Amino acid sequence: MSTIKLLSSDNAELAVDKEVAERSILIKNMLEDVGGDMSDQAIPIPNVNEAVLRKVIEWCEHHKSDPPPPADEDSDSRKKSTDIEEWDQKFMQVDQEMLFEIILAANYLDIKPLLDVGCKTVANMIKGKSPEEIRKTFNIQNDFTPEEEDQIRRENEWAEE
Amino acid sequence: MARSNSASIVFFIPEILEQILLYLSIIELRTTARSVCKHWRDLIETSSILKCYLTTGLLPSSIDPRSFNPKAAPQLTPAAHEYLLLFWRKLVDLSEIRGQDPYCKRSGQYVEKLDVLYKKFLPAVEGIVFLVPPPPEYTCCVWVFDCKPHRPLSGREEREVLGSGRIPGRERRRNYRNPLSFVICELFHVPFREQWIYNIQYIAKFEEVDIAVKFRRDVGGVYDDDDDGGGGEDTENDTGTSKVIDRPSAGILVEEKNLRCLFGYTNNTVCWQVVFQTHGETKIGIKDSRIGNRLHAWMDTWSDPGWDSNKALARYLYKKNTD
Repeated sequence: MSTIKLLSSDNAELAVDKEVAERSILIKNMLEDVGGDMSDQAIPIPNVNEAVLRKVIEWCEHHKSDPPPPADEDSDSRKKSTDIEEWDQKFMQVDQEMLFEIILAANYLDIKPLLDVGCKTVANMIKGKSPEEIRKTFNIQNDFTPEEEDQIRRENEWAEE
Repeated sequence: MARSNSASIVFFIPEILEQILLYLSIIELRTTARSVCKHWRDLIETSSILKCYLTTGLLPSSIDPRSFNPKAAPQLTPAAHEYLLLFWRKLVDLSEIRGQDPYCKRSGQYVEKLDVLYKKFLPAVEGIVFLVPPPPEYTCCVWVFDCKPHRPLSGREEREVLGSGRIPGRERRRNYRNPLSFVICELFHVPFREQWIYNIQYIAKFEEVDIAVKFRRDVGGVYDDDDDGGGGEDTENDTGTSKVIDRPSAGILVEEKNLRCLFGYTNNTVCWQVVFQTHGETKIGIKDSRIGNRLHAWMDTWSDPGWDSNKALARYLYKKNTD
């Protein structure tokens, strides 16, 4: 099995199986463009640092045999479930900074299933919380004026417990 | 220092925030998420995907009219599920306020609260799509009831519930269990298609409640269910149209397992029913000798063009106040 090298934003060179790296559509397309032979040259991943890249590779290693997602993924009416398989749950037990770095990396590297897991994890952090708790969790500033807040509160009255 | 710099970057990539928000429930997205900050609110109000999700619970690609089979039975949308369930839970909570039969004629406090709940909900469900593909015409009928733990309604029970329809123009009926019958009718502007004959369109498990949209061909007049021993026909002039009709029990075919029913009405009114069937402990016992304790509530409205639910509510409330 051929191995390729990835170069992180902080100049760390990581060797990885081609099959594993090709979970990233970005890398896959890149390899196809150059004819598949990148054995002597590291592929620069300028947006992702070493720690995050290692995590992403760990995920790709574990999921290298997953069947490809269905081509017509939107035909699924919607992905209501936020269930995450056990291994992925453990994988996502990282600090918040790392979680969001993984999401950004998955987005950049075009690894849709990993992006999905990341988004589900964040969604699960939002679920069941009040707006104030959500702001606190993600350090989001409340930029509504008191009048706007009052209006939103009135608009949401029907759903209040 | 910001706790998570990457968080702010992630939340400012609309596609990613969109994807995260799509994992929330429709009501949570509409209420909680919209209240977090302006950026979230603006995205929720402008993203076409989120707007579609808010009104249907579906992604735009799945409600493309080109993909509709015109002959397919309409399905209750996930959005409809959520709103119906929230409403249902609030109804149950409401009835627990008094801890007694909510249909009791004198439960004025209950009716007041019901009225408040109803008026709060009306604007909230505006714009919600309840069925896809959308049937072309209008009518709706909503029933809510529960049954004993883990047992579907028997044919007889179902007949009892379905056969107890109260219809406008029937004063003594209106006094009886009617508060709820006006509540949801305005919530669900659900149209109908006349040629559909059979009725279970959808049953879905959603936590402890099953919701089913049933299709029912029904009569334009009223039937008289006072005479339990009778059967067959009744003539009624109250709605302005005199019609000879079948009793509901005459045409119901019940398969208990899936609540599949066939209604054999021969007349020209058609209505939809949304049935909530709970599994698990009955929360409240309703002392209703006719329906036993199975009926939580039922609501209906009729496709009779002369039937205006608001007028009916007004009439009901007027009646209540003058009792």
